[in-house]
Amino acid sequence: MSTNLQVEKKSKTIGIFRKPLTQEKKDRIAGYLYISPFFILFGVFGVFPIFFTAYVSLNKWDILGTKSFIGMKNYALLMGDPVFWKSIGNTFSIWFLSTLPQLFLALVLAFILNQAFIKGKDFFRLSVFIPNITSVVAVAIIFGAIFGENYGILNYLLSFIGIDPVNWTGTLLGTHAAISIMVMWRWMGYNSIIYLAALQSIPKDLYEAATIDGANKIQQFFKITIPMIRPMIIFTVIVSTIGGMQIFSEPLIFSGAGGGSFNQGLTITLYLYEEAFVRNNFGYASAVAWVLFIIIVIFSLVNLFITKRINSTE
Amino acid sequence: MKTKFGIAKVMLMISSMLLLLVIVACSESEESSSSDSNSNGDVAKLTVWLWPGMGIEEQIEQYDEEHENVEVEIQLAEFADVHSNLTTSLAAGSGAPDISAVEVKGINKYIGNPQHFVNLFDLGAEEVADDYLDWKFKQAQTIDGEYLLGLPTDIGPQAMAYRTDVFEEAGLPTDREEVAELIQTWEDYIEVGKTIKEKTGKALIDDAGGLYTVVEGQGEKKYYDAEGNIIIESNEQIDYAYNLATEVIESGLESGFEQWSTEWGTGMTNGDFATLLAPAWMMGFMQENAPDASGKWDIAKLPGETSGNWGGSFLTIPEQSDHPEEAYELIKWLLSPEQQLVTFERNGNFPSTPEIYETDAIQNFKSEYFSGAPVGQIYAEAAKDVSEVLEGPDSITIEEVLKDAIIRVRDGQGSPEESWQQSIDELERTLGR
Amino acid sequence: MNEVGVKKFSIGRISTYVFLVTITILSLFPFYWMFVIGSNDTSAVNKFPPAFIPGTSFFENAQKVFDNIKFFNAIINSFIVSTCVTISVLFFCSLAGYAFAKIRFKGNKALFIFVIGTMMVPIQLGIIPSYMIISKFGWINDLKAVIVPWAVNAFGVFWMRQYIASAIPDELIDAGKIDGCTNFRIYWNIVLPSVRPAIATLGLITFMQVWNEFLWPLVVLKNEAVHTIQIALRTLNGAYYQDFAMILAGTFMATIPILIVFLVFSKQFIAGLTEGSVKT
Repeated sequence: MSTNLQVEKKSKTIGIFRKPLTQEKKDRIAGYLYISPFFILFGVFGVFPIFFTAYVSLNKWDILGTKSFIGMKNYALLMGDPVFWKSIGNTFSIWFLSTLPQLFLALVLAFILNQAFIKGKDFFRLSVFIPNITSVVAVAIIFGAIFGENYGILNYLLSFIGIDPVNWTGTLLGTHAAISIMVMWRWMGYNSIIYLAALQSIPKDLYEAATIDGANKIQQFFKITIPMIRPMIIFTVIVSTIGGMQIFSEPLIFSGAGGGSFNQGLTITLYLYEEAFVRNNFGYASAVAWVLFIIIVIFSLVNLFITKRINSTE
Repeated sequence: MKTKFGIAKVMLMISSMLLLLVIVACSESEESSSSDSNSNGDVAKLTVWLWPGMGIEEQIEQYDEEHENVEVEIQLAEFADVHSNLTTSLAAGSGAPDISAVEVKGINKYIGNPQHFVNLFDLGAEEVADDYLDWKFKQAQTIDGEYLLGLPTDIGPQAMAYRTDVFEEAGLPTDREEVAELIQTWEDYIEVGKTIKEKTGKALIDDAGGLYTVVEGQGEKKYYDAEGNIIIESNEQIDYAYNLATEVIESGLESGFEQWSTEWGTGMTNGDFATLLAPAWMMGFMQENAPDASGKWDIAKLPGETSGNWGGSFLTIPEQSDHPEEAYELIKWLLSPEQQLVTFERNGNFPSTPEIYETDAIQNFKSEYFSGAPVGQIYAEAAKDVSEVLEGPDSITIEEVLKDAIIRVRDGQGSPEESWQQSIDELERTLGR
Repeated sequence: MNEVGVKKFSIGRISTYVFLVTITILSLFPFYWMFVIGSNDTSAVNKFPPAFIPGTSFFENAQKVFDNIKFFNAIINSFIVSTCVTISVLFFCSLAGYAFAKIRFKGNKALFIFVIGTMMVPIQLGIIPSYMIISKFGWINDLKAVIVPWAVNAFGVFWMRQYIASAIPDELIDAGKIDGCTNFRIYWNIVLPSVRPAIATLGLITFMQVWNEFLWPLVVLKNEAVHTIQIALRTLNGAYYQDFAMILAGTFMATIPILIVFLVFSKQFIAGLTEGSVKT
């Protein structure tokens, strides 16, 4: 209670000492004040690493030795590096295979979990969220057991329908499919929890009115749900774009730090990580980081544009 | 009613925030006082970074108790984390411990920048050089031999584990003496593999990449010459090792299990591969992961003229340490032959000091899991037989890229020649950065 | 699916349940399997066909965990860190989200875009410079090193801003202003109670992420006394072989607190709906 009173007092004292502020000024002060914690923290902990990385990207540096300035050479090397281009291709391929179906399924799942007739909602919500809190160690072991070539569960099941053992880790398609399945498995429930929260913001009477008008659930989903939670869809699209472009844990689990013998599972972030911490080419890795940043900015803008268009055509 | 409840919650949040600020403020002052105590008195406070399973914690504690002038704090982290944390604190210029364990691959990485570590030769390490296996001691030296980064802990001498049941099924001898007689060279090894494949349909080896690493390590030189030049393409041993590994793959003698995968453990239990090139520390792994195969494995000498080594570590003293002398006294004692014997008896880590190989503890060390083989004797013999190989700062990258060439052949991503060329191209790009 | 209607036992409803149950089984299986291995011995990991039934060694494995690491100490550390971060993230992010969504000030939009932009910076290489900062502050081996940098994040600001923008009509804010409410009052009495599902979701996600985070903590928390549970669990990995049964038993136990937190937050997920604090 005391804090509340203090806040009130504070605003009063401001009122006494200064001339009454206009609403506009009050808004401005409050606005800057409320967003300041983020910017202060970012200023203290975020700015230096960014400039550090930018500076290092202009150097040849093996982390432990001395830096030698080489200008834009790292970027020039990067443009001619086939492995880097491959990692970009892999990242987009995995993004398309995992993120798009995942977001759609998550939305459908959230819509279902929001239906009044579903019994045991608490249980189902918890269940779909569990993959996200299952430890990475367990995930690594179990996915290893599922996708093994000789004793993998999946190949064992496929053998019943007459399909020969698939070399999941040793082929491009197998690797991308397996990583995408892992991503979907880990993040679908997470996104549906986010969508579920979003669905709560839709007034219930909208659905009631629609039902009276004879709209079925599918129509309600597309005509009410999606347009109403547009800001949250934009949110998940942006966040998934960023997350998908920076995908790291899943390919690391599945293909190891090198991304596989012919880089079949090497994503941009994994490449960056390998160059920095396995091969100690920190300058080069920093250049990768900056190019990745630019890719993310561009791709986010593209996705934002597409998402907005889809919504407005509704 | 409900809104009030909500506000109460927010109030709770705010007050917790205030509490947090208080905690922050409090621990601030705590911090400064603790750094004071660090510098007072004659007691040297030593921080030691280890990973679990090194088996030397108890001895360090014992040393701590017996010595008034030092106070030791052990900080355990996972194997990989110790190395990445060390790299981070060396790069950042602060936060490194007084003593850190570093595995041989880590040593290879740091050896290009030895200035981050105390040169143990300056502290008198020359005196104890003879206590250790020559090849092992030299692993932690710069190529010019001027700088010593660490003292040796354990080693990973290699032998060949084989399945007696599979050998018997293939009509081959199973006695370890006879097996060693039968398989003296890698050519013999492949011949045996072909017989096994024909008679039983089983594979000879789990993973051809592992074979490659062992064979390339048996040469006199590996990737670097004595001047530090990279000699991959002129070194015939590498060529030999690569051809051997790809031949194994192309004749279908490899099982296709990736090492450390779960199905690798399954194959180990079921006998899907007849041999496994196993360093000493692998024994524990096999017993834990394939307990049902107990008594079905046996151990013999590694094919080829010399033996091999996989893994093993060192204790180093980072340059940032305020008490290098005290730290050196501790590691000198801890890694002496007597103490390595204690570690071996307690934890089974294979010692790097040859004089204790003749003790009963090692000579009588037999393993039921390996059909009663005198594994102590076998590994001690192997340890003395390891060839001395120079490693350089990019050894790990090179090994990884070359092994990728072999995996590509296995996965049908190109002929051995194409795949080799691809790796050479990649090395040219990556080492130039 | 296209017959999901009003009838009680329609095909639509049944197939909806089938869909839900399938997803539930797929989601739960690895978690369950974690317990299966955690209650067997390590070789169970390598069994083929795989082990599906829990063994009897769970308590034995748990005991090994307690012998090897200071489990409860680490749980307490994790709890302190996760709770502090969650509380401050909820407060600061919702405040900033409200400002971005509903308060008009110069540069609102540009600053908001900047916030989103910070999420796009790859952070993997930040470890060394961040370590330098923390070490300058003298926060190595101090829980502050993991609490303070995470006290507010762009993800949370973005999320709260989007939610507040869509869930709260401008008229409601304007009405509050006409009544003479300060901006903080509006945030406090109108905005916060209306966005409880968003707060609950953010709280859960934050708590869970902080609880499971290890990359940064392991760089700055090396002293056993300040280990969080994820760091402590990592030290169960041996140098030469890993006792998976023990590791997974430990991991299983370390996940239980998050489940409890989930159930606590869970009541809030649907709250906004029934309450209707936003009157339209």
